[in-house]
Amino acid sequence: MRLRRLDLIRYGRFEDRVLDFGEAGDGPDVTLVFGENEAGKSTAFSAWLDLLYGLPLQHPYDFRFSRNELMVGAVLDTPDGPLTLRRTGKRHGSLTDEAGREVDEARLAGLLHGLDRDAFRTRFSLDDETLRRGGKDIADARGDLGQLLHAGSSGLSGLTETLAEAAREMDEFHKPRARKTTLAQTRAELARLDAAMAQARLDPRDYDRLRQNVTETQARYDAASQAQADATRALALRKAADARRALAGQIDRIDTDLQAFPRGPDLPADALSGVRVAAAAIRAARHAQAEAQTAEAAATDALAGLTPDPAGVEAAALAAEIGAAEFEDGTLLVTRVLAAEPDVDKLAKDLHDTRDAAAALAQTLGGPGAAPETVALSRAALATLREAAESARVAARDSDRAIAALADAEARLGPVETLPDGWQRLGDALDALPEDPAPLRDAAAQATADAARLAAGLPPGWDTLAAAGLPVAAELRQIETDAHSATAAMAEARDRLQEARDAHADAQARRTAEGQLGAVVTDAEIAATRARRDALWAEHSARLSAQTAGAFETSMLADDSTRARHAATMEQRALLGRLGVEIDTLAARVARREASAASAAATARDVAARASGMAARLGLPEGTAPAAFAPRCDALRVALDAALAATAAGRSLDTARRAHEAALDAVLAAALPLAPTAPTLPEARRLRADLEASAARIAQREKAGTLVADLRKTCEASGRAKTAAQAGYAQAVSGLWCETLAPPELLARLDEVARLREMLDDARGLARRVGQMQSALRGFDMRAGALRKVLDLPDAGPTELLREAARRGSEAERIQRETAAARDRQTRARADADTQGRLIAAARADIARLLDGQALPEDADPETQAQHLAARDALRARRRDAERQRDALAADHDARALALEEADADSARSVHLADALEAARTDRDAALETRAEARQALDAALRRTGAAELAQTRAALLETLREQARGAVLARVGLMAAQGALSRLREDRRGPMLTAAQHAFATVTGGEWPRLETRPGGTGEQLVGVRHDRKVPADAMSTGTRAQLYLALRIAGHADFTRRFGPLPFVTDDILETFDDTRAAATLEMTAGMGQLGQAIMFTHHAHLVALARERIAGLRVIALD
Amino acid sequence: MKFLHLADLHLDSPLRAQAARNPDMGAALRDASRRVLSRIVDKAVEHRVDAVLFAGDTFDSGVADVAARAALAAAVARLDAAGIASVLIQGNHDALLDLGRFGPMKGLTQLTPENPTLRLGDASFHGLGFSAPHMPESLLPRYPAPEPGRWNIGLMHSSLDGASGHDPYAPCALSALLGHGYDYWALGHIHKRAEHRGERGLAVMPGIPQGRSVRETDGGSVTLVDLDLNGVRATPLPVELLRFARLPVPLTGANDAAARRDAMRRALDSAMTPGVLLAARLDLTGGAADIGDIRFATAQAQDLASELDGVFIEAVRPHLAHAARPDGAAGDLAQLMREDAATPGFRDQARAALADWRTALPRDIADLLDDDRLDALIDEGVETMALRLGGGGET
Repeated sequence: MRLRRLDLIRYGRFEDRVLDFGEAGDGPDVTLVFGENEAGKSTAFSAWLDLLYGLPLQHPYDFRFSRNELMVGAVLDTPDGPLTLRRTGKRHGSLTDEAGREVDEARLAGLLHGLDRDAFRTRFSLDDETLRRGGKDIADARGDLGQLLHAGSSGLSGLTETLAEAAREMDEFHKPRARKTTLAQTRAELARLDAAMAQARLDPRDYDRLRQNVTETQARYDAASQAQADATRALALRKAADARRALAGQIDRIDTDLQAFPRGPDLPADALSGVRVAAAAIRAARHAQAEAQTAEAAATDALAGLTPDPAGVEAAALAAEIGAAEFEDGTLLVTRVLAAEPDVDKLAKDLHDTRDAAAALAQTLGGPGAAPETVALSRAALATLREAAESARVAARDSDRAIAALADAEARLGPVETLPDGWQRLGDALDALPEDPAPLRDAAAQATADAARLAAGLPPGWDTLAAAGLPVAAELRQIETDAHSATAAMAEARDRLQEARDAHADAQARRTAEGQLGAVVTDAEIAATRARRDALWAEHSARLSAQTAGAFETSMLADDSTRARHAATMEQRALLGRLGVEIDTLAARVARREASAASAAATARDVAARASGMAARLGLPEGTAPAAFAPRCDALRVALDAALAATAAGRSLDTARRAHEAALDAVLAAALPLAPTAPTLPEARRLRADLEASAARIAQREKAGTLVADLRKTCEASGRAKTAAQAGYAQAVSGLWCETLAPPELLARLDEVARLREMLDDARGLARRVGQMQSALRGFDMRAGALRKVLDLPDAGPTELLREAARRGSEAERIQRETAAARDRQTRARADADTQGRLIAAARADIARLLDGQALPEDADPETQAQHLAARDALRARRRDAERQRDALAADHDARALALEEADADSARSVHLADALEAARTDRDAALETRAEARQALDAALRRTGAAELAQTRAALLETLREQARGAVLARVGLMAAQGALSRLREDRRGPMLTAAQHAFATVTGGEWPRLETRPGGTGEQLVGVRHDRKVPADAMSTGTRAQLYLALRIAGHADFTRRFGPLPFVTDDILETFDDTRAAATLEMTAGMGQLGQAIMFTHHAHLVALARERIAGLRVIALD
Repeated sequence: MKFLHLADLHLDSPLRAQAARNPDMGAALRDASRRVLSRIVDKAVEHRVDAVLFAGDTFDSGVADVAARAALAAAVARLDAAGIASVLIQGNHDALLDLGRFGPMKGLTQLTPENPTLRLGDASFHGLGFSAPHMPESLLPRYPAPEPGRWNIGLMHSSLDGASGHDPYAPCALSALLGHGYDYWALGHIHKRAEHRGERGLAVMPGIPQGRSVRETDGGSVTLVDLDLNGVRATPLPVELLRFARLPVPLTGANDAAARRDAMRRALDSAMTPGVLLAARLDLTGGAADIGDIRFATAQAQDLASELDGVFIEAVRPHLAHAARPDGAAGDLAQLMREDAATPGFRDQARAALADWRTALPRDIADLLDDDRLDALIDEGVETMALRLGGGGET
């Protein structure tokens, strides 16, 4: 594969940039791409890799175009010819051809010999960094020949690490006697789990033990419970006796205390509270009674301080009467008086001023002495005058305009013209004249020529065949398909028949050969020898002679021999039998296939007959292949169509020509009466144009005459309207002060007349309002006399009078209200004092009833006495309660035992019994706890998962270990295989590679290192270089020399790959930067050598290297990268 | 008559799955067989069956952990409370188990040679069960004749016609079984579900209710059986917590990581079932370039599984197609490795090298290095290393 052109369509900073490497010539195929730093050399190399292997997801060159927009293309020279490709950032189908059609990635993969991106970059590109790293690999390899050759040649420098990693993984899993391997640690974990499972598993013996423990602890618990119950009972008896003894003493003390209380029955249940309530009621009633008496005295004092005002009350009534008075229209007198009092004088002055202004305006309009009422016309009269004056003015203006328009139209009429008769026939004849038939003539000629051309090559009489009807395409296809199928079927049947015949012959030959291989003894033969032996034995046994004996012996030996041979040929007999069956089967197969072949031949003949018929229909010779039918049929159909088209075109031309001649005669006949001499066709057309222009002018004059007549009528009508409007105006102003004014003069004064009318209306309104105010003030004075007298305000105005009346009336009403309230309080306080007196008497009666029958001193405080009696009754109740308790304590106990205990008052006995109960209770609690523990142990054992969970953990751990062990075993086996294979691979390649590397190393070092040799070292061989007859191990060389050795190894590797798989472009990027000119020149010559094997592309930014390369490499191609 | 038929519960037998070590899945798989048993009881109650038939190997051994027996007792008690009878025979695994050792289990009837029949409603259940771990003879001749006018159901633990390389367990020809005259045969022993229909009867091997390793991928259910005038109908009811699956992942043409991941995702999607955990072994097929380094493919599969609920990768296996041998040194190297590995000398050397490993591995997994497996392991080891060294192209 070779790169002919790289298209940076949208990539990095490039857009539509082309790097053209041209076609490979006869000389070295080397291209040098020169560009400054940052010119895009790395971008171009990246684009080349992306084209081959696709765009990475995170793309470093998507700064100008987004990754989706990136596109790179190339033209590749391949063994199959040029291949144009495009690569985009699409997820699928990113590789296409120039037209955007998807290209299979396998096509590229094949050209790359399976190399992936990294391998390609490693094998077919070099930069300074790679050279340095390669030199380091050489140092790390310590001169090991095999590794060096691989590190340099195949890029398998990571192989050692991979194998070492696999070995590490293996050792991490298992290493004899190691304790920290995965296997050892897992085994330890499994041992721990096994122990835990043994503990966790609930086996039947454990279960039985737990059950037994539950039973025993239950029995112990039952016994302890019984002992505790007995102790409890004994202590309860003792406690009852103690309590009864204490209660007896308590009763004796109560009896002594009761002797200090008065006699009498027990108080009723509510006596104490009743006495308390009654005493409290007496105290409350007495307090309320005192408060009522105080209230009565206060009300009496308040009445004494209030004095009534009758004049104020009367003034309020009079003021109310005035306030209610109103006019007939419903307006209150007071409202109108209070409004008129401040405004009446001002309005009277305004009235006087308005009347003076109206008189002055009337004299201005109507002349000296004109009265305002005479000049100021009503609104209706004003409207009539305005309308009549306006009508007269408009009518005069319209009449003037009509007279002017009529004069203008009459001035624009032109001269009078006429047309000859029959002028329109000429136009009709010209319109009916058809187009020239010349195009039809051309078309007919073309159709005739086409028909002749398409019929060329067809047999004579083809038109007859075509007219008889042509077959349809499906019919032709069917015949072709049938013929093809029949031929194929016949060939297949023939092959199958031959195959069957061959197999049959082969089987027969094998049977013949098997039959001839040796004497095959049949069953019939051994039966015959056995029969003969038996017969001779019978004869011998009858005669017992030496002769019969010999005959028998001979027959016996023959029989034995035959049987032995029968046994020995058993397989042969079986084979012959199988061959017989096989021959029969094959014979049947031959017969079947012969029949099939005959059937196929018959079908083929039938199809051939149908094909012959079709060939005749198409005018083809007999035996023509059916594949030719469709083209011939198409040719006949096309020729027939063309012939029909030519005939139709000729007919159309004749018809058109005749029609044109008739129409031309009609035109000339129509033009003859209108022209001075017999006209030609163009003259007839010009004559028609003149006549049509004259006709247009005549029509235009007729239209203008109609307009003049209309204007004349309009003029007459406007004159009549003007006269009528002037008469109407004269009638409207007749007898008025403006009788002598013309319409425009009157129109100019009408607005002032209207203003005078408004002034007179205003004066009338003012006069009415002043009259109403003065009337209201008079009415108030008539009604306010009595009020002025009561209030003693004879000169007060309406406002002052009414305000004073309101104030006096309000004060008099307040005094009236307070007097009534004080009297009400006085009455209620008296009634309350009486009620409290009755309540005190009732409470005293209740106390007497509650303490009835008690021996109490006179005048004693009832509450104190009641409390004393209640204390007595409480003592009596306590005594009864103690009696009840004693009786209750005796219940559930044996009376005799209780009596004995009561008699024994020794306190030590009670302590002793309590201690005994505590001991029994402790014993029972202990038994209960033991039983609970036993039950819990059993329940827990049954409830827990046993060893299931641990077993699950163990199984999962084992499964993981199984997978790990499997992986380690695979690594172990793989490692063994890889190490052996690698050793062989290195051995195979060692010789040629070493020679090629030596040559390259000598060249790039300018002959300083002419030889590379090997010598034993470590576990294998070491590579040493020879300089000045001194041997230097590879790992002892300088850094620069190691880099050059690496370059030499890579060049040798490239040659090796190219020899075995074919060329691929090799790209270097400024690798000569650190080389001196001598070595750089030598390396360039090496590059030229690589260019002889395949394509070499060098990127550099050193201008001097360009010149150097031009000197050293013939036919060098240089591309400048801007 | 309606009943639930199960077999080979192997109560408390652990799952041989690495998935159980996963923190999330481990909790879900704790007491797996007991939880499956609980699900079975739920199904029986839900479908209102008349009986639940345990057709052998209910326990994994003849000396069961008493706790496991207690788990069965709890399940039987639940069934009994719901009015459902439990009928059990013993299989080869629990042949020596003495179920009466800890007193009668209320609601459970064990069918034995002395007490081979239980009559329940209009049905008669016949069964014998194993009395020893190995029973090389057919038990069928000792089964009672069908009882006329009743549904006859047989419980049998049998390897049926058997399989080559496996010991026979109460072997019995299927034709003889179906010709015995029973309406339904509730079978057990084979862990893969199968139905065999005869002229008048049906024999069902229900399969293991919960597969225990990636070698048991065809169970996961119990069988609901309806017997009425319309005949006998069997319906599998899924009960498994975790499904083991071996999923083929065709990678031919998948030459990048994204395409490989898509193919794995499709395979996992095809096996995922709502409510059931999945432990999958992925079998990758394709060329060397398609599969790539198997360690990376494994990590990729595990990463994918971590994004899916309830999915765990048990193992990833490469199956390399040799058709397209890569060019270059890696291809040459791989070819040399194969040639070398095919020689008897290499095989013997490998056997010798692994002899120490065979003794070092725990006995439970020592079968990994059995002689009959070694050749396959060697082939796989060579291919795996070839992939690792850049079988998809040179590195």
